[in-house]
Amino acid sequence: MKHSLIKLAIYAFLVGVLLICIVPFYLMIVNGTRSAADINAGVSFIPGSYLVQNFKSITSQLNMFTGLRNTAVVCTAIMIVSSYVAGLTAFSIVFYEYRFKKLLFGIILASLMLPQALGLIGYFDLCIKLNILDTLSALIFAGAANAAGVFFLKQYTQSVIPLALIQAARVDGASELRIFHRIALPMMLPGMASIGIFSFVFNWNNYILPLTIISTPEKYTISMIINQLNSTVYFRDFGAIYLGIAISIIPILVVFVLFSKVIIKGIAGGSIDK
Amino acid sequence: MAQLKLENVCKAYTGKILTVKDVNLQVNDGELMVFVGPSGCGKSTTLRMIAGLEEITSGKLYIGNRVVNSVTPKDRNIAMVFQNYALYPHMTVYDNIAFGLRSQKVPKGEIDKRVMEAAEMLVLTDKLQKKPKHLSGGERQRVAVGRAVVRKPEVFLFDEPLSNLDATLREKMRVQLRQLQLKLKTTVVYVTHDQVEAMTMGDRICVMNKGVIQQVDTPHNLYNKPKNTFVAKFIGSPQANVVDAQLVQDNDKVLVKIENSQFELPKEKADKVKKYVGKSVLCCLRPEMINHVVDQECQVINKIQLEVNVMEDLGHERLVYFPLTGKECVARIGSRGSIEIGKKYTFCFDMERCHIFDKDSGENISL
Repeated sequence: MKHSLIKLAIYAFLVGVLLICIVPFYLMIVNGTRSAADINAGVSFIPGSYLVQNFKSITSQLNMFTGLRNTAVVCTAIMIVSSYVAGLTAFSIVFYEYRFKKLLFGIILASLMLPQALGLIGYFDLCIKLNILDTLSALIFAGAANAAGVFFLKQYTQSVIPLALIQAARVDGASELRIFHRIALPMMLPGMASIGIFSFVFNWNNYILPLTIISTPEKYTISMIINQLNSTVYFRDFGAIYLGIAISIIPILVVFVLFSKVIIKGIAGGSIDK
Repeated sequence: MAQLKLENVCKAYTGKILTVKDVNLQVNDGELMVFVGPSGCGKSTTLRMIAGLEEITSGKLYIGNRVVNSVTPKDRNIAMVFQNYALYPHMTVYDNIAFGLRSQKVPKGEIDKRVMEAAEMLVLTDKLQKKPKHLSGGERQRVAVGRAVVRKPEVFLFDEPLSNLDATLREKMRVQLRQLQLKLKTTVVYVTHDQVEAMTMGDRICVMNKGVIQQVDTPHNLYNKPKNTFVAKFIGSPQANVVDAQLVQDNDKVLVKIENSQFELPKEKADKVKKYVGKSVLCCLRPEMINHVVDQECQVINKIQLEVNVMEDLGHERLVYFPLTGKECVARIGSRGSIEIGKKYTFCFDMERCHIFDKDSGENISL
């Protein structure tokens, strides 16, 4: 009896937490189907009838789908490049001995403590010098360096790849790059996929960097597009704003749903001690 | 195949502590050399230096006529079987065996031919499309051997390849590995901590302790002519009895005094130890050199009364334990005659085969 009550209490708590997480998303989707007046009138859990109007409002004012396309291109490229680069870095830290390795790793870790905003001016200047200002490449390069990814993958690599495997490959005659690509990378894939997905999500929502780097409207990312809806001084079309935000997070939800197993495997794999 | 030579090879890690000290060793072409010793003695480190996985601090390593100190593992033309097999978990058995050949850009047809030959030799033909996680311990071990065999290296290195197997499988694989080596006529360096494995497999055995080579010899010589107390005690099961003794002169005879009993040394041994007369020494007797005197009427010399503490009856023989000079000693005796715990019995020592060691250096002075 006592056991059942405890179980019930745990389930009730978990359902409560679930509702707290899900309800804002649900309300956002519902508000995307309501008018601004209805939204101002109060909260409702029942969908409205303004979906089509709100959609027309967004598409007439903004280039939503261009923004989605640009963001998808940037985030996909960052996902691939950052996970590969972080994997290569973590591999070198775990399996090679060289001077200043600890210092280098320390610098990588220390960079985690610096907010993105701090490096913006310097990066802006660098983009000018490299002639990549106002390009999607500038966003990709910035996202490709993933210090948190390096840290996570270092731990992950240490736990899933024994040194003997690398040494066996060396004795077998493989070059160091071949060892990385044919032996280490397939085993690091779940961890790298986790890093990639988290990079994807973080950069999807990134606003301040695109705002600083991109000036051409055709290259705007989705976060910049959504914020344009917010910039009208006299009238804020809340229904359209909510719908715009709902549309912008659909790709992230799809990514999470599709790759949830990979994420869990990546996180769990790093915790197994060999 | 090639000869292997280590010349004054040393290995020091940080802090300049020598893990391997001044190793001088030659492994002949086609020979199976076993490195044996307790954990931490430097045998695996030496093997890894031969493989190129550890840097040699000082000294020279030759494979054939080449000095290979600075040569990378992949260019040394060696193959290695690791203790935990180190199979690539995401590859099939076929891909595991073929990996080294693909890395060396061997043509596809040749790769296929060699892999199939190795698979047939190691009874892996029906396992080629499986992954390591679907194999048993013995099968994984054979895949690791197959991966080494296909490369046709000059030297094979085995780092305790049987230690993860159960006792029955270990015995079976020991024989198979030895048969394979004899068939391929390869130069092999084999590391183990198991002295039974060493004795049964090696053409010669290199006994190591604390980074130093104690003795390199055939199994027969190691057992019957140990150079020091470490080798005497490490090789042989049950362990050899090494007890405190004194050498005393009795006219032209040299006697070994153990507790209150005296044992006559044969002339040949006596001549070798004469200069130690009057000094304390160590006397080594293997368990089979201590015989139970069943017939009390029988005239034997070199006998002693000993109280039996423990007895292990193995059917075909018995192991009896007794204290001597404060140490627990063991005798291997036949199944004749009754033995009761706590009673004293007469034993005689085979002084023809005993060894006398210098008490300070531990060196054999009776060889």
